[in-house]
Amino acid sequence: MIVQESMSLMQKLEILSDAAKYDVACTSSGTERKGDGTGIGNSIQAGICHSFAGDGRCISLLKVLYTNECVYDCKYCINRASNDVVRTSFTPEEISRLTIEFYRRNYIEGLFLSSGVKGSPDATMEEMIRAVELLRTKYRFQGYIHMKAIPGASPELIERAGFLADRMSINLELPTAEGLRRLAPNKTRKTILKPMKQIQVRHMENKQELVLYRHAPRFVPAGQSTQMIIGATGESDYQIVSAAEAMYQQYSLKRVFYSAFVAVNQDNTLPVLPQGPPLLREHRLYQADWLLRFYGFQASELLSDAHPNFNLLLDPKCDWAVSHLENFPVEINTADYRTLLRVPGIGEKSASRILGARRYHSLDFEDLKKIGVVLKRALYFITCRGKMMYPIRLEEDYIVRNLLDPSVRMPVPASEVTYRQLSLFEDLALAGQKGGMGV
Amino acid sequence: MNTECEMTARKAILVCEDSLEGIFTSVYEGWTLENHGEKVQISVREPDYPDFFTRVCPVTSDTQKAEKVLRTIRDKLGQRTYEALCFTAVSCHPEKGTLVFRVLRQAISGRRFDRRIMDNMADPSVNLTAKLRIRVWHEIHRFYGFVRFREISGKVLLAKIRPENDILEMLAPHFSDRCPNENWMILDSGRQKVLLHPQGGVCSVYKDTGTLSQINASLCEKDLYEDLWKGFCRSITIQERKNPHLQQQLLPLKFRLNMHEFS
Repeated sequence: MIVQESMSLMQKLEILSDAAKYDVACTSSGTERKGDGTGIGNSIQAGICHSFAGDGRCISLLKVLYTNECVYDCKYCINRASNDVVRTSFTPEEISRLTIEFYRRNYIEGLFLSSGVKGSPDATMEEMIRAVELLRTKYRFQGYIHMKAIPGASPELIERAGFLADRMSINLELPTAEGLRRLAPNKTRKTILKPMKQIQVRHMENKQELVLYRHAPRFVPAGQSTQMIIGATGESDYQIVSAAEAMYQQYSLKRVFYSAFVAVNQDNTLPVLPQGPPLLREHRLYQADWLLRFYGFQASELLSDAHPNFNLLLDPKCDWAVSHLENFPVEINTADYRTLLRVPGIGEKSASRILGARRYHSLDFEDLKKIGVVLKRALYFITCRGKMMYPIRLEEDYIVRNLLDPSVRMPVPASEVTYRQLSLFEDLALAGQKGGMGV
Repeated sequence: MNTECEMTARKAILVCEDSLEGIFTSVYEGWTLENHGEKVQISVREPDYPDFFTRVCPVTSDTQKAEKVLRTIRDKLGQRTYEALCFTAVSCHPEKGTLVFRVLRQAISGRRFDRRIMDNMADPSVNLTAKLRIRVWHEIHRFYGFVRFREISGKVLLAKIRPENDILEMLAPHFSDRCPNENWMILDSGRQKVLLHPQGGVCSVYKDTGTLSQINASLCEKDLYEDLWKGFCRSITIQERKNPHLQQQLLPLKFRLNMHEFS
């Protein structure tokens, strides 16, 4: 291992931010805190993006590792023990100074501190806590801090960290225990889930304390998050989404992040991805994640063992709607909020706007357009005052064909006699099951 | 009001200064005119070719009248409507004055106050107001992140922005709360005014040219942390996921002029 002792701050920052970039979470949301006037910083509920990197991801926090020295040998990680890369560490003073100076210039919203495991999990966690403590006490920093919990660190240290940070996270890394065993031999499900449970329980207790004593110290006020790598092992979308759902329900996580696997190491246990990272798949998983969190969907509604992966051509909501046509069409002027939310092309915003606007008068398609409903997708599934926008057949093939064809803006009115493309596999029943699409 | 404006005409254009104060003073003046059967428009600049039957009345800003209107809006129509109308009034839309006036006429008739007026999205004036509110709020929120301070000789933080809407004053509460113990200034280079916050003090806006030219000169100084920041932005990018199109969609070029990582 090459450990360089003397290195400029610039070099350290470059190495340790480069090593941290595969961590997805860079959100600064979830805490509303005014400055107390004694130091620097505040935090707003929605979070703030300060810049956007060349890959289009937001830069909101100073995302760095405390050290990239690591005793673990996770196959997918650039900093694994068996890799020959330059190793270095920050000191607590360097990190807090850098955070404050960046923050003063309004470059960042706070600090995201992760780390390789240097020595033991406890020793690493201790160092990280020292850096954050310095920031909170010496500089009276009231901005956002996201801290990683190191799997295997002792509960006392997690507790201490939780009172300093706004958000904590422990990476689930892989959606199945089997995958974890294969690619991250030093981590186990148990060492990951134990601190997660601890943070959840402590967070709940803290909520009770805050009811009694309004100024009690807050424990992880912005909740905890986790991250899974997508496409490194062979699991299906159904397994991934189910794992995410379990995380939300059993561990009350704020967010689950998905990270398309980027091949940084050569290893016989890792897949080779000649087309680059599976970005579209990642995108579909995020869309499904939103459906779970805000739209009242369940993983088992979106996917099943017979249909384990998302359709890459259609978004998960459209995909669900075309295969559940028995729920449609929905009458805009009478449907309740939950039903409206399930219509493709209607989101949280437009659904609540519809509820507000129809208090004044009944709505027509023209009004929906103004409200911000994406009619291109919604028109197949809704009626206004009992009428559809065009005479449309509620037929899976027909709707899918129109949804997918970018040249057809609005469908041609269906006449009595209809034609459609003959499909070898569907019409002659050569395939075992009916395909989802008619193209 | 000028005396010649008292003669009856069917349409009146009130011309006022482009500020919250100007627009809400005009709302105050326009209210009585419209009650007397005139169709009122509020404009922030002289109309180029007024109609023959339209009379143009200049309105001088009056803090008391404007505050009266603003207080009524906040108390009777609620915080949401208040915010929407204020944001509309600082937007860069040419018809913003008339728009604010139309929404208020709809919300208030006689003694009835419609607190839910902003829900009536199918109405064209309300709809446009709601759109402008979002536009202005987005710009404010974006500048919360995109303002870049540069440290000048170790004691003052200086930033330059060029917003589309007149939002400089609206940045004050956020940044005062964030950096209460710093001397900082934000310069709106398009409107040539500067927001100034002394250490531990309250924000104020200056427009005099002396201060402005001094600020412009000091903006050329170099700050050591800029290189560190540039290096960070470079190394945090995952090359395998490079996506300049998405980057530009989220961070349009017009914002990058004053951002150090893009210079």
